[in-house]
Amino acid sequence: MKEIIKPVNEQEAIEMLHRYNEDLLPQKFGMAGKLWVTILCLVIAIGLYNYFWQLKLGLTVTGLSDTVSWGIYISNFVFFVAVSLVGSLITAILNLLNVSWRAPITRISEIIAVSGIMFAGLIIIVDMGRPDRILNMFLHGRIQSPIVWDVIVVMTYMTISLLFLIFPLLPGIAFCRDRMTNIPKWQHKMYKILSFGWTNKKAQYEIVVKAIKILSVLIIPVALSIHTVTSWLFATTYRPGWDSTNFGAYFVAGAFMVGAAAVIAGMFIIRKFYNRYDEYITDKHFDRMGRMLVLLSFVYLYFTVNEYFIPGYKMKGDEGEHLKELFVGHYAPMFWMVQIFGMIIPILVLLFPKGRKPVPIFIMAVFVIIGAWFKRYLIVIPTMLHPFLPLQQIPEASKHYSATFAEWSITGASLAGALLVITLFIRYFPIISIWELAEERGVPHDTIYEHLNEKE
Amino acid sequence: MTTFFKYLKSKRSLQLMLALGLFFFLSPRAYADKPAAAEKTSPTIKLSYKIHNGVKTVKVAVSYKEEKKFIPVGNIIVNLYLGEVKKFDKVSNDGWMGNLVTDDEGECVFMFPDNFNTLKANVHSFNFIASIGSDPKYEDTQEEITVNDMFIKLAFAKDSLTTVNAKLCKMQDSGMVPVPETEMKLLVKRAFGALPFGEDNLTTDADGLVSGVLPADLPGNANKSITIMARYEDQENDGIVEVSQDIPWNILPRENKLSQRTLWSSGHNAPVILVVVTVSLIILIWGTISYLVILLLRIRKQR
Repeated sequence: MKEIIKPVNEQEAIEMLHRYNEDLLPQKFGMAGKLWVTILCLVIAIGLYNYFWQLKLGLTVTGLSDTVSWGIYISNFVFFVAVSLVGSLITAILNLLNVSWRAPITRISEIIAVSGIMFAGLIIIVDMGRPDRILNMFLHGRIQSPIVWDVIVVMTYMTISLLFLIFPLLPGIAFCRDRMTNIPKWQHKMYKILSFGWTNKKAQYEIVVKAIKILSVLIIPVALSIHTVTSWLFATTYRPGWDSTNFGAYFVAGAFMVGAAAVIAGMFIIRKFYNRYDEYITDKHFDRMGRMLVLLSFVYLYFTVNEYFIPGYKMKGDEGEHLKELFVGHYAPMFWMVQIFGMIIPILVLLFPKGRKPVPIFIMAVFVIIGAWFKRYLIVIPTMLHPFLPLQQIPEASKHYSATFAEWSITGASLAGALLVITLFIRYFPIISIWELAEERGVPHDTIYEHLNEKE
Repeated sequence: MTTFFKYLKSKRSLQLMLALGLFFFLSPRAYADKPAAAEKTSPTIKLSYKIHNGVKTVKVAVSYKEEKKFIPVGNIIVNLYLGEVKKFDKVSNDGWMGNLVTDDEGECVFMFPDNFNTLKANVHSFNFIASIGSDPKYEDTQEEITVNDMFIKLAFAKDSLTTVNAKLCKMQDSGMVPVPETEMKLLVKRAFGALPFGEDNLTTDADGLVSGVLPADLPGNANKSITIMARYEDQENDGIVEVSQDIPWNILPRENKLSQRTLWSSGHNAPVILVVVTVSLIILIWGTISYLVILLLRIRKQR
C-alpha cells in the first residue's frame, strides 16, 4: 500500500501540485476505450430504434398488460434511483465526517449519481404509453399521489446532484481550459463556458467551499427521501410483497449498498485504464470502500431478513402465495441467486483483508450490482402477478410476464446511456479533483490558489 | 482482431451496412401486427342494428382472425345496400344506400336519413347488406342483417311518476301491433351506464306491456331529472330497440365525497396539512437551490 506523503514545506507542496497537474489531466482513449464507446453507442442506437417503434405502435411492443403494468422499465428505474444515492453517501456523508481518504473517489461517486438519476427520469418517461402527455402530470397532478411526490423529488435530487458535481469541478474545468492547448475548438469553448469564468481567486474558492457545505447538508435528506418516496410507490399500493412498513428503510439500505459497489467498480476501471492513477486510487481506498460495502451489506441483510422472515413465518393468504413463488416457486432460482451472489458471498469475501484487494473487491462489486438489478426485478414483477383480487376472465397472456426484445433493448440502452455519460465525463473532465486531493494531502489553501494551474 | 477493426474503421460504407442490417434484424416490425402484403386476408363483417327513439342505425364491425384473436380492420370502405346489391333504384328506393370508412377500432355506424321512414312507409322489415369489394388487402366479403320496424312507447301511471309502463310494438300492414311474451328491460340512466329496475326477467303481457317501479330514493341529477329507458334486445337479428325519456325528479344527487378534502379527492381538494407540508418543503429546498445558483453566478463576478 502506498503511503500518502504530506509536503513539509511550500516548495514540496508546489511540486506536489505540479505533479498532480501532470498526472490528472483527462487522457485520450486508447483502442479499448474507443471500442467501449462504440459498443455503448451501438446498444443505445438499437434501443432508440426500438423506442421509436414503441412510440409508433404503443406499449403493445412490450410484454406489459393490465396485470403486469410495471415491468422491467420500472425495476430498471428503481435500480437507477438506488445507484444514484451513492453521490450523497460518498461525497456528503464522508465530507461531513471529514474522512481523510475521500478526495480521489468523490467525483466518481458524483458522476455516477448524476448519470443514475438522469436515466431514472428518462426511463420513467419510456414507461409511459403517451409521453407527449407528461405535461398533464404537472398541470393536473394530484399532490396526494406518491407518483407526483416521486417526480418532484427526482427533479430536486437531479438538480442538487448536478450542483454537487459542478461546484467542486469548476477549478478542474478551468484547469482543462488553461492547460489543454492541443484540443479541438469546441472542446476549448465547452471548457470556457462551463468554467464560469474561474480564475483561481481566493474569493471563488470560498464560494465553492461554502456551497459544498450547504449541499452536503441539503443532499442527505433529499437523497434519503428520493429512495423512500420510490419505495412508497410500492408500499402505498395494496399488494402482496409491497404492503410493508419496512420498505423505506429497506430500499435506502439496498441503495447505499449498490451505490458503494458502483463506486468500487468505477474506481477499479479508472485505475486500470488511466496511467498513474494507481498512485491516487490506492489499495487503501479499495480496503476502506470494502469495509464500507460489507457494513452496508450487513445492514441490508438485516432488513432483508426482516422483510421476508416475519411474513414467511406467518405465510398468510396471498402474501404466503407470493412468498412461496419466491422461495420455492417459479422465481426461486433468481431469488436465491440474488441473495447468495448479490449479498452473502460479497459479505463473506469482503470480511477478509485479502478480499478487499482491487481484483476480488471489483468482482464482488459486480456481483452486488447485477444482484441489485435482479433484486429490483423481484420486487416489481412477482408482486404484479399476484394481486389480491383473483386473475379471472382475462387473456392467458395477461397471467404471465415476459419482457420483449424491445423492452430489453430499451432497458439495455438506458444502462448503456448511463455508462456513456460516465465514460464521456471521464474522457473530458478530471475524474479526480486536484484541489480537493491537494487539500486532503495537506497542501495549504493559499498555495493551491496560487499554483493550481501552473505548469512545472 | 485489431486488424479487423482497422479495416472496419476504414470502410464507412461497410459500417453503415452493418448497422442497417442489425437494425433491420432487430426490428420490432418482426412482431408487429400486420398482414402480409402479397396475399389477401379474409375479413369478417359483423352487423348490428339499433333503433333509439325511432332513429335507425346499423353498426358495421370489420375484423380478421389471427392466432385466435380478432384484429380490427380500420380505414376500409364498406358499402351498404338495402334489399339487394345494386345501384340505387329511385322507383323502389332499394339498392346502394351509401358507403362508410371504418375507424381504428374497425367500426362505423350508418345512420338512416330522416326521409327513410317516409320513403319506405309500407315496408316493415328491412334487409341490409354490407359489402367490402375491390380492396387491395382484403378479400371481397358481404354480410346481411334484418331490421324489423319496431318501437317502444313509455307511459307513466297517472298518480305517480315512479311506476313506469313500456309497450313494445311492431309495425305491420294492418298497423301497429303489440308484441307479447317478449323479454324487455326497464333502465334508469346513471353516470357510467344504465341501472335496471323493476322485477327480474320482465316479459310483455298480451298488450305488449311491462311495468316497473322506480326506487323512491334514487338520486337524480343536478337539474332535478332522471332519464328512463326501456330496451328490447332482438337477439335473433342482433339488434336493440330502445326509447329514453327525461322525467322530473325531486331527489337531488348525493353530496359528492370527492368535493371534501381527502387523500382520494381531486388534486384541488387535497388535505390542507399535506399541501402545507409539501409546499413548505418545496419552498425550503428549492429556495436553497436558488441561493446555490446565485452563488454559482457570483463566481463569474469574482474573476
